[in-house]
Amino acid sequence: MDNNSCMNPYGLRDGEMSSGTTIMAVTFDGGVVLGADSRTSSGSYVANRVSDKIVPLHDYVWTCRSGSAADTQAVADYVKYYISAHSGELDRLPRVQTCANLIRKICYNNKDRMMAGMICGGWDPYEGGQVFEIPLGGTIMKQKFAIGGSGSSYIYGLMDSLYRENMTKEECKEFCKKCIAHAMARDGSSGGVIRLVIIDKEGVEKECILGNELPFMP
Amino acid sequence: MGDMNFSLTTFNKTGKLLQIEYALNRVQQGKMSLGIKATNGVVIATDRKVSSVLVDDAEYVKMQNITPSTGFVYSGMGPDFRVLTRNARKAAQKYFLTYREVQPLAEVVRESALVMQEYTQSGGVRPFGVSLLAAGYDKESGPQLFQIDPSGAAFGWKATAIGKNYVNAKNFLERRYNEEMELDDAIHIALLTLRESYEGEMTEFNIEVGIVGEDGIFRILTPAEVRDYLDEAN
Repeated sequence: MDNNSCMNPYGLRDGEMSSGTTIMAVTFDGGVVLGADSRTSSGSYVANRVSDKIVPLHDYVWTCRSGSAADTQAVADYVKYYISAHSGELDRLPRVQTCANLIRKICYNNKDRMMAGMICGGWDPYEGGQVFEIPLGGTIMKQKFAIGGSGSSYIYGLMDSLYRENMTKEECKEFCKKCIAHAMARDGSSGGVIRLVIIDKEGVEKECILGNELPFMP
Repeated sequence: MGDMNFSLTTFNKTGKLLQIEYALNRVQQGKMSLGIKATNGVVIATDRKVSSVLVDDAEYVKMQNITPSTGFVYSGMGPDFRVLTRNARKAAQKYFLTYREVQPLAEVVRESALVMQEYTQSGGVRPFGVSLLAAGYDKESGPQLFQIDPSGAAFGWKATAIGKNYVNAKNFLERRYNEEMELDDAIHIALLTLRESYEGEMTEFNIEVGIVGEDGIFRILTPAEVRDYLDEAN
Protein backbone atom coordinates (compact mmCIF):
# COMPACT_ATOMS: atom_id res chain seq x y z
CA MET A 1 0.00 0.00 0.00
CA ASP A 2 3.10 2.14 0.08
CA ASN A 3 2.35 3.20 -3.45
CA ASN A 4 -0.99 4.79 -2.56
CA SER A 5 -0.18 7.49 -0.05
CA CYS A 6 -0.35 11.25 -0.01
CA MET A 7 3.44 11.22 0.19
CA ASN A 8 3.46 9.45 -3.16
CA PRO A 9 0.94 11.24 -5.36
CA TYR A 10 2.07 9.48 -8.52
CA GLY A 11 2.06 5.98 -7.06
CA LEU A 12 5.70 5.52 -7.99
CA ARG A 13 7.40 2.28 -7.19
CA ASP A 14 10.54 2.12 -5.03
CA GLY A 15 13.41 3.81 -6.75
CA GLU A 16 11.31 4.87 -9.74
CA MET A 17 12.11 8.27 -11.24
CA SER A 18 9.47 10.94 -11.23
CA SER A 19 9.21 14.04 -13.29
CA GLY A 20 7.36 15.55 -10.30
CA THR A 21 7.33 18.75 -12.26
CA THR A 22 5.66 21.87 -13.28
CA ILE A 23 4.74 21.99 -16.96
CA MET A 24 2.81 24.56 -18.91
CA ALA A 25 1.84 25.61 -22.40
CA VAL A 26 0.20 28.78 -23.75
CA THR A 27 -1.05 29.60 -27.24
CA PHE A 28 -0.57 32.95 -28.95
CA ASP A 29 -1.64 34.07 -32.38
CA GLY A 30 0.53 32.00 -34.71
CA GLY A 31 2.21 29.66 -32.23
CA VAL A 32 2.69 28.28 -28.72
CA VAL A 33 5.08 28.60 -25.79
CA LEU A 34 5.87 25.43 -23.84
CA GLY A 35 7.57 25.64 -20.45
CA ALA A 36 8.82 23.25 -17.78
CA ASP A 37 11.09 23.00 -14.74
CA SER A 38 14.08 20.65 -14.79
CA ARG A 39 13.98 18.48 -11.68
CA THR A 40 13.83 14.67 -11.86
CA SER A 41 13.50 13.18 -8.39
CA SER A 42 13.35 9.75 -6.81
CA GLY A 43 11.77 10.33 -3.43
CA SER A 44 13.78 13.19 -1.96
CA TYR A 45 16.86 12.52 -4.06
CA VAL A 46 17.21 14.83 -7.04
CA ALA A 47 18.44 12.47 -9.74
CA ASN A 48 18.78 15.14 -12.42
CA ARG A 49 18.57 18.87 -11.72
CA VAL A 50 18.84 19.94 -15.34
CA SER A 51 16.57 17.47 -17.15
CA ASP A 52 14.75 18.36 -20.35
CA LYS A 53 11.07 17.63 -20.00
CA ILE A 54 10.00 19.13 -23.31
CA VAL A 55 10.59 16.72 -26.16
CA PRO A 56 9.92 16.97 -29.89
CA LEU A 57 7.42 14.62 -31.51
CA HIS A 58 7.91 16.26 -34.89
CA ASP A 59 9.43 19.48 -36.24
CA TYR A 60 6.63 21.73 -35.02
CA VAL A 61 4.96 19.57 -32.35
CA TRP A 62 6.54 19.17 -28.93
CA THR A 63 5.27 17.70 -25.70
CA CYS A 64 5.83 18.37 -21.99
CA ARG A 65 6.16 15.30 -19.75
CA SER A 66 5.04 14.90 -16.12
CA GLY A 67 4.51 11.88 -13.90
CA SER A 68 6.67 8.79 -14.18
CA ALA A 69 9.77 9.62 -16.20
CA ALA A 70 9.91 6.11 -17.65
CA ASP A 71 6.25 6.05 -18.72
CA THR A 72 6.37 9.46 -20.35
CA GLN A 73 9.61 8.75 -22.15
CA ALA A 74 8.13 5.53 -23.52
CA VAL A 75 4.95 7.28 -24.69
CA ALA A 76 6.91 10.09 -26.31
CA ASP A 77 9.15 7.62 -28.15
CA TYR A 78 6.21 5.62 -29.49
CA VAL A 79 4.31 8.69 -30.63
CA LYS A 80 7.44 10.10 -32.27
CA TYR A 81 7.76 6.90 -34.25
CA TYR A 82 4.10 6.75 -35.27
CA ILE A 83 4.02 10.40 -36.26
CA SER A 84 7.19 10.09 -38.28
CA ALA A 85 5.66 7.23 -40.30
CA HIS A 86 2.33 9.04 -40.62
CA SER A 87 3.88 12.32 -41.72
CA GLY A 88 6.17 10.54 -44.17
CA GLU A 89 3.18 8.72 -45.65
CA LEU A 90 1.16 11.90 -46.05
CA ASP A 91 4.22 13.83 -47.20
CA ARG A 92 3.20 16.87 -45.16
CA LEU A 93 3.38 18.25 -41.63
CA PRO A 94 1.26 16.38 -39.09
CA ARG A 95 -1.57 18.04 -37.22
CA VAL A 96 -1.01 18.84 -33.54
CA GLN A 97 -4.37 17.17 -32.99
CA THR A 98 -3.08 13.92 -34.50
CA CYS A 99 -0.02 13.84 -32.22
CA ALA A 100 -2.14 14.61 -29.17
CA ASN A 101 -4.62 11.92 -30.12
CA LEU A 102 -1.88 9.30 -30.40
CA ILE A 103 -0.64 10.25 -26.93
CA ARG A 104 -4.18 9.91 -25.67
CA LYS A 105 -4.66 6.47 -27.23
CA ILE A 106 -1.60 5.09 -25.51
CA CYS A 107 -2.40 6.74 -22.17
CA TYR A 108 -6.04 5.63 -22.21
CA ASN A 109 -5.46 2.06 -23.36
CA ASN A 110 -2.80 1.56 -20.69
CA LYS A 111 -4.39 3.65 -17.99
CA ASP A 112 -4.15 0.93 -15.34
CA ARG A 113 -0.40 0.64 -15.71
CA MET A 114 0.70 4.18 -16.35
CA MET A 115 1.20 7.48 -14.59
CA ALA A 116 1.64 10.02 -17.32
CA GLY A 117 0.36 13.57 -17.60
CA MET A 118 1.37 15.22 -20.85
CA ILE A 119 0.80 18.56 -22.49
CA CYS A 120 1.13 18.51 -26.27
CA GLY A 121 1.65 21.84 -27.97
CA GLY A 122 2.69 22.95 -31.42
CA TRP A 123 1.94 24.66 -34.67
CA ASP A 124 0.47 23.23 -37.87
CA PRO A 125 -0.44 24.96 -41.12
CA TYR A 126 -4.11 23.96 -40.78
CA GLU A 127 -5.11 25.31 -37.36
CA GLY A 128 -2.12 27.37 -36.21
CA GLY A 129 -0.92 27.20 -32.61
CA GLN A 130 -2.70 24.65 -30.40
CA VAL A 131 -2.35 23.17 -26.92
CA PHE A 132 -3.80 19.81 -25.87
CA GLU A 133 -3.69 18.49 -22.31
CA ILE A 134 -3.73 14.73 -21.65
CA PRO A 135 -3.91 14.23 -17.87
CA LEU A 136 -3.82 10.94 -15.92
CA GLY A 137 -6.45 8.52 -17.24
CA GLY A 138 -6.26 9.59 -20.85
CA THR A 139 -8.80 12.36 -21.45
CA ILE A 140 -7.83 14.88 -24.09
CA MET A 141 -8.67 18.55 -23.80
CA LYS A 142 -7.91 21.28 -26.28
CA GLN A 143 -7.23 24.52 -24.43
CA LYS A 144 -5.85 28.01 -24.94
CA PHE A 145 -3.34 27.32 -22.17
CA ALA A 146 -2.67 24.43 -19.81
CA ILE A 147 -0.67 23.64 -16.69
CA GLY A 148 0.24 20.25 -15.31
CA GLY A 149 2.46 18.32 -12.95
CA SER A 150 2.67 18.37 -9.17
CA GLY A 151 3.75 22.00 -9.06
CA SER A 152 0.73 23.17 -11.00
CA SER A 153 -1.55 22.89 -7.94
CA TYR A 154 0.25 25.86 -6.38
CA ILE A 155 -0.21 28.20 -9.30
CA TYR A 156 -3.84 27.85 -10.40
CA GLY A 157 -4.67 31.12 -8.67
CA LEU A 158 -1.66 32.95 -10.08
CA MET A 159 -2.35 31.62 -13.57
CA ASP A 160 -5.97 32.70 -13.48
CA SER A 161 -5.07 36.20 -12.33
CA LEU A 162 -2.22 36.70 -14.81
CA TYR A 163 -3.75 35.20 -17.94
CA ARG A 164 -5.21 37.51 -20.56
CA GLU A 165 -6.62 36.73 -23.99
CA ASN A 166 -4.57 37.57 -27.11
CA MET A 167 -1.19 37.90 -25.46
CA THR A 168 1.82 38.35 -27.71
CA LYS A 169 4.66 35.86 -27.92
CA GLU A 170 6.78 37.89 -25.46
CA GLU A 171 3.91 38.26 -23.00
CA CYS A 172 3.31 34.49 -23.14
CA LYS A 173 6.95 33.82 -22.38
CA GLU A 174 6.84 36.13 -19.33
CA PHE A 175 3.61 34.50 -18.21
CA CYS A 176 5.17 31.03 -18.39
CA LYS A 177 8.35 32.11 -16.62
CA LYS A 178 6.49 33.74 -13.77
CA CYS A 179 4.10 30.85 -13.20
CA ILE A 180 6.75 28.16 -13.36
CA ALA A 181 9.07 30.12 -11.06
CA HIS A 182 6.33 30.45 -8.46
CA ALA A 183 5.57 26.72 -8.68
CA MET A 184 9.25 25.85 -8.36
CA ALA A 185 9.44 27.98 -5.22
CA ARG A 186 6.65 26.05 -3.48
CA ASP A 187 6.76 22.52 -4.91
CA GLY A 188 9.51 20.23 -3.62
CA SER A 189 9.35 18.11 -6.78
CA SER A 190 9.96 21.09 -9.08
CA GLY A 191 13.16 23.09 -9.37
CA GLY A 192 16.35 23.67 -11.30
CA VAL A 193 16.07 25.83 -14.41
CA ILE A 194 13.10 26.92 -16.47
CA ARG A 195 13.13 25.55 -19.99
CA LEU A 196 11.02 27.27 -22.65
CA VAL A 197 10.28 26.10 -26.18
CA ILE A 198 8.65 28.64 -28.49
CA ILE A 199 7.10 27.26 -31.68
CA ASP A 200 5.69 29.29 -34.56
CA LYS A 201 5.66 28.95 -38.32
CA GLU A 202 9.18 30.38 -38.59
CA GLY A 203 10.53 27.54 -36.48
CA VAL A 204 11.44 26.52 -32.94
CA GLU A 205 13.36 28.56 -30.33
CA LYS A 206 14.64 27.14 -27.08
CA GLU A 207 15.39 29.17 -23.98
CA CYS A 208 16.80 28.34 -20.59
CA ILE A 209 16.40 30.57 -17.55
CA LEU A 210 19.01 29.67 -14.96
CA GLY A 211 18.42 29.50 -11.21
CA ASN A 212 19.88 32.92 -10.46
CA GLU A 213 17.79 34.60 -13.17
CA LEU A 214 14.41 33.31 -12.04
CA PRO A 215 11.76 36.03 -11.88
CA PHE A 216 10.66 34.78 -8.47
CA MET A 217 12.79 32.95 -5.95
CA PRO A 218 12.11 33.80 -2.30
CA MET B 1 -3.16 -31.16 -41.55
CA GLY B 2 -6.45 -29.34 -40.90
CA ASP B 3 -4.84 -25.93 -40.67
CA MET B 4 -3.44 -26.01 -44.20
CA ASN B 5 -5.27 -23.79 -46.62
CA PHE B 6 -4.03 -23.53 -50.17
CA SER B 7 -4.60 -20.78 -52.69
CA LEU B 8 -6.96 -21.48 -55.56
CA THR B 9 -5.17 -18.88 -57.66
CA THR B 10 -1.96 -20.36 -59.01
CA PHE B 11 0.32 -19.60 -61.95
CA ASN B 12 0.02 -21.54 -65.20
CA LYS B 13 2.97 -22.44 -67.42
CA THR B 14 2.93 -19.14 -69.31
CA GLY B 15 3.03 -17.14 -66.09
CA LYS B 16 -0.61 -16.10 -65.97
CA LEU B 17 -2.90 -16.18 -62.97
CA LEU B 18 -5.98 -17.45 -64.73
CA GLN B 19 -8.39 -16.73 -61.88
CA ILE B 20 -7.50 -13.05 -62.15
CA GLU B 21 -7.95 -13.14 -65.93
CA TYR B 22 -11.35 -14.72 -65.42
CA ALA B 23 -12.23 -12.11 -62.82
CA LEU B 24 -11.33 -9.41 -65.35
CA ASN B 25 -13.59 -11.15 -67.86
CA ARG B 26 -16.42 -10.93 -65.35
CA VAL B 27 -15.71 -7.21 -64.91
CA GLN B 28 -15.83 -6.71 -68.65
CA GLN B 29 -19.30 -8.21 -68.75
CA GLY B 30 -20.48 -5.74 -66.14
CA LYS B 31 -22.25 -2.45 -66.81
CA MET B 32 -19.98 0.40 -67.79
CA SER B 33 -18.53 2.87 -65.33
CA LEU B 34 -16.21 5.73 -66.14
CA GLY B 35 -14.43 8.59 -64.47
CA ILE B 36 -12.83 11.87 -65.51
CA LYS B 37 -10.55 14.11 -63.50
CA ALA B 38 -10.92 17.86 -64.05
CA THR B 39 -8.85 20.75 -62.73
CA ASN B 40 -11.34 21.49 -59.97
CA GLY B 41 -12.99 18.14 -59.29
CA VAL B 42 -13.69 14.58 -60.38
CA VAL B 43 -16.78 13.03 -61.97
CA ILE B 44 -17.69 9.34 -62.03
CA ALA B 45 -20.67 7.96 -63.90
CA THR B 46 -22.22 4.55 -64.31
CA ASP B 47 -24.92 2.69 -66.18
CA ARG B 48 -27.66 1.91 -63.75
CA LYS B 49 -30.14 0.18 -66.04
CA VAL B 50 -32.41 -2.27 -64.25
CA SER B 51 -33.49 -5.58 -65.71
CA SER B 52 -37.23 -5.03 -65.38
CA VAL B 53 -39.79 -2.28 -64.77
CA LEU B 54 -40.81 -4.17 -61.66
CA VAL B 55 -37.49 -3.37 -59.94
CA ASP B 56 -37.88 -0.63 -57.31
CA ASP B 57 -34.96 1.42 -58.52
CA ALA B 58 -35.27 4.03 -55.79
CA GLU B 59 -33.40 1.55 -53.63
CA TYR B 60 -30.76 0.84 -56.23
CA VAL B 61 -27.66 2.98 -55.58
CA LYS B 62 -24.35 2.01 -57.08
CA MET B 63 -22.10 4.83 -55.92
CA GLN B 64 -20.99 4.81 -52.31
CA ASN B 65 -19.20 7.31 -50.06
CA ILE B 66 -16.22 5.97 -48.21
CA THR B 67 -15.28 9.22 -46.50
CA PRO B 68 -17.17 12.49 -46.93
CA SER B 69 -14.76 13.42 -49.70
CA THR B 70 -14.27 10.11 -51.50
CA GLY B 71 -16.65 7.91 -53.48
CA PHE B 72 -16.45 4.46 -55.05
CA VAL B 73 -18.24 2.97 -58.05
CA TYR B 74 -17.73 -0.40 -59.72
CA SER B 75 -18.20 -2.62 -62.73
CA GLY B 76 -18.85 -6.29 -62.11
CA MET B 77 -20.52 -8.07 -59.23
CA GLY B 78 -22.59 -5.91 -56.90
CA PRO B 79 -22.32 -8.22 -53.88
CA ASP B 80 -18.51 -8.22 -54.07
CA PHE B 81 -18.61 -4.41 -54.24
CA ARG B 82 -20.66 -4.27 -51.04
CA VAL B 83 -18.00 -6.21 -49.14
CA LEU B 84 -15.26 -3.90 -50.38
CA THR B 85 -17.14 -0.71 -49.50
CA ARG B 86 -17.93 -1.96 -46.02
CA ASN B 87 -14.30 -2.84 -45.51
CA ALA B 88 -13.07 0.51 -46.87
CA ARG B 89 -15.46 2.48 -44.66
CA LYS B 90 -14.36 0.60 -41.56
CA ALA B 91 -10.73 1.21 -42.41
CA ALA B 92 -11.40 4.92 -42.96
CA GLN B 93 -13.10 5.20 -39.57
CA LYS B 94 -10.25 3.36 -37.88
CA TYR B 95 -7.85 5.80 -39.51
CA PHE B 96 -9.87 8.73 -38.24
CA LEU B 97 -9.97 7.34 -34.70
CA THR B 98 -6.22 7.11 -34.64
CA TYR B 99 -5.17 10.22 -36.51
CA ARG B 100 -8.21 12.48 -36.13
CA GLU B 101 -8.10 13.44 -39.77
CA VAL B 102 -9.94 12.21 -42.85
CA GLN B 103 -8.07 9.39 -44.59
CA PRO B 104 -6.62 10.67 -47.88
CA LEU B 105 -7.86 9.00 -51.07
CA ALA B 106 -4.49 7.46 -51.89
CA GLU B 107 -4.57 5.57 -48.61
CA VAL B 108 -8.23 4.55 -48.97
CA VAL B 109 -7.29 3.09 -52.34
CA ARG B 110 -4.26 1.35 -50.92
CA GLU B 111 -6.39 -0.38 -48.24
CA SER B 112 -8.85 -1.73 -50.77
CA ALA B 113 -6.13 -2.73 -53.21
CA LEU B 114 -4.43 -4.62 -50.41
CA VAL B 115 -7.58 -6.56 -49.60
CA MET B 116 -8.20 -7.37 -53.25
CA GLN B 117 -4.65 -8.67 -53.61
CA GLU B 118 -4.99 -10.79 -50.48
CA TYR B 119 -7.90 -12.60 -52.07
CA THR B 120 -5.65 -13.63 -54.96
CA GLN B 121 -3.17 -15.29 -52.66
CA SER B 122 -5.06 -16.51 -49.61
CA GLY B 123 -6.34 -20.04 -49.26
CA GLY B 124 -9.82 -21.08 -50.26
CA VAL B 125 -11.04 -17.75 -51.66
CA ARG B 126 -11.57 -16.32 -55.13
CA PRO B 127 -10.63 -12.86 -56.42
CA PHE B 128 -13.27 -10.11 -56.24
CA GLY B 129 -15.31 -9.87 -59.43
CA VAL B 130 -15.19 -6.06 -59.57
CA SER B 131 -12.99 -3.24 -60.73
CA LEU B 132 -13.37 -0.12 -58.61
CA LEU B 133 -13.21 3.53 -59.57
CA ALA B 134 -12.36 5.81 -56.64
CA ALA B 135 -12.84 9.58 -56.85
CA GLY B 136 -11.85 12.16 -54.28
CA TYR B 137 -10.77 15.70 -53.60
CA ASP B 138 -8.66 17.08 -50.77
CA LYS B 139 -6.91 20.38 -50.34
CA GLU B 140 -3.41 18.96 -50.27
CA SER B 141 -3.54 16.63 -53.27
CA GLY B 142 -6.37 18.18 -55.28
CA PRO B 143 -8.69 16.03 -57.41
CA GLN B 144 -7.75 12.37 -57.83
CA LEU B 145 -9.18 9.38 -59.72
CA PHE B 146 -8.02 5.80 -59.14
CA GLN B 147 -8.87 2.43 -60.66
CA ILE B 148 -8.39 -0.83 -58.74
CA ASP B 149 -8.51 -4.15 -60.57
CA PRO B 150 -9.29 -7.65 -59.19
CA SER B 151 -5.55 -8.32 -59.07
CA GLY B 152 -5.15 -5.49 -56.58
CA ALA B 153 -3.29 -3.29 -59.07
CA ALA B 154 -4.19 0.36 -58.54
CA PHE B 155 -3.48 3.22 -60.91
CA GLY B 156 -4.22 6.91 -60.94
CA TRP B 157 -6.02 8.05 -64.07
CA LYS B 158 -6.90 11.32 -65.76
CA ALA B 159 -9.84 9.54 -67.36
CA THR B 160 -10.78 5.87 -67.59
CA ALA B 161 -13.61 3.46 -68.23
CA ILE B 162 -14.34 -0.09 -67.04
CA GLY B 163 -16.99 -2.70 -67.88
CA LYS B 164 -18.72 -3.39 -71.18
CA ASN B 165 -17.22 -1.62 -74.22
CA TYR B 166 -14.57 -0.01 -72.10
CA VAL B 167 -12.08 -0.05 -74.98
CA ASN B 168 -14.30 2.11 -77.18
CA ALA B 169 -15.08 4.36 -74.28
CA LYS B 170 -11.39 4.86 -73.49
CA ASN B 171 -10.63 5.70 -77.11
CA PHE B 172 -13.44 8.24 -77.04
CA LEU B 173 -12.06 9.71 -73.81
CA GLU B 174 -8.55 9.85 -75.19
CA ARG B 175 -9.77 12.03 -78.05
CA ARG B 176 -11.95 14.27 -75.90
CA TYR B 177 -9.85 14.68 -72.76
CA ASN B 178 -7.83 17.83 -72.16
CA GLU B 179 -5.87 18.84 -69.09
CA GLU B 180 -7.58 22.22 -68.65
CA MET B 181 -11.09 20.80 -68.39
CA GLU B 182 -13.25 22.02 -65.53
CA LEU B 183 -15.80 19.92 -63.70
CA ASP B 184 -18.80 21.00 -65.79
CA ASP B 185 -17.03 20.09 -69.03
CA ALA B 186 -15.92 16.80 -67.51
CA ILE B 187 -19.52 15.93 -66.62
CA HIS B 188 -20.54 16.77 -70.16
CA ILE B 189 -17.85 14.53 -71.67
CA ALA B 190 -18.68 11.76 -69.19
CA LEU B 191 -22.30 11.73 -70.31
CA LEU B 192 -21.34 11.73 -73.98
CA THR B 193 -18.96 8.84 -73.41
CA LEU B 194 -21.55 6.89 -71.49
CA ARG B 195 -24.10 7.41 -74.23
CA GLU B 196 -21.73 6.13 -76.92
CA SER B 197 -21.91 2.63 -75.46
CA TYR B 198 -25.39 2.79 -73.97
CA GLU B 199 -27.95 0.28 -75.21
CA GLY B 200 -31.32 1.92 -75.52
CA GLU B 201 -32.27 5.36 -74.39
CA MET B 202 -30.17 6.99 -71.69
CA THR B 203 -32.22 9.03 -69.21
CA GLU B 204 -31.52 10.64 -65.88
CA PHE B 205 -33.10 7.63 -64.15
CA ASN B 206 -31.03 4.84 -65.63
CA ILE B 207 -27.59 6.35 -65.03
CA GLU B 208 -25.86 7.57 -61.89
CA VAL B 209 -23.43 10.50 -61.78
CA GLY B 210 -21.29 11.38 -58.78
CA ILE B 211 -19.05 14.42 -58.37
CA VAL B 212 -16.60 15.81 -55.88
CA GLY B 213 -15.59 19.44 -56.32
CA GLU B 214 -13.52 22.02 -54.51
CA ASP B 215 -15.86 21.85 -51.54
CA GLY B 216 -14.43 18.38 -50.93
CA ILE B 217 -17.84 16.70 -50.58
CA PHE B 218 -18.60 13.66 -52.72
CA ARG B 219 -22.24 13.53 -53.74
CA ILE B 220 -24.51 11.89 -56.27
CA LEU B 221 -26.29 14.28 -58.62
CA THR B 222 -30.07 14.35 -58.38
CA PRO B 223 -32.05 13.22 -61.44
CA ALA B 224 -33.02 16.86 -62.03
CA GLU B 225 -29.38 17.93 -62.19
CA VAL B 226 -28.52 15.02 -64.48
CA ARG B 227 -31.46 16.02 -66.70
CA ASP B 228 -29.97 19.53 -67.06
CA TYR B 229 -26.61 18.15 -68.12
CA LEU B 230 -28.27 15.69 -70.51
CA ASP B 231 -30.27 18.47 -72.11
CA GLU B 232 -27.07 20.42 -72.65
CA ALA B 233 -25.48 17.39 -74.19
CA ASN B 234 -28.26 17.12 -76.76
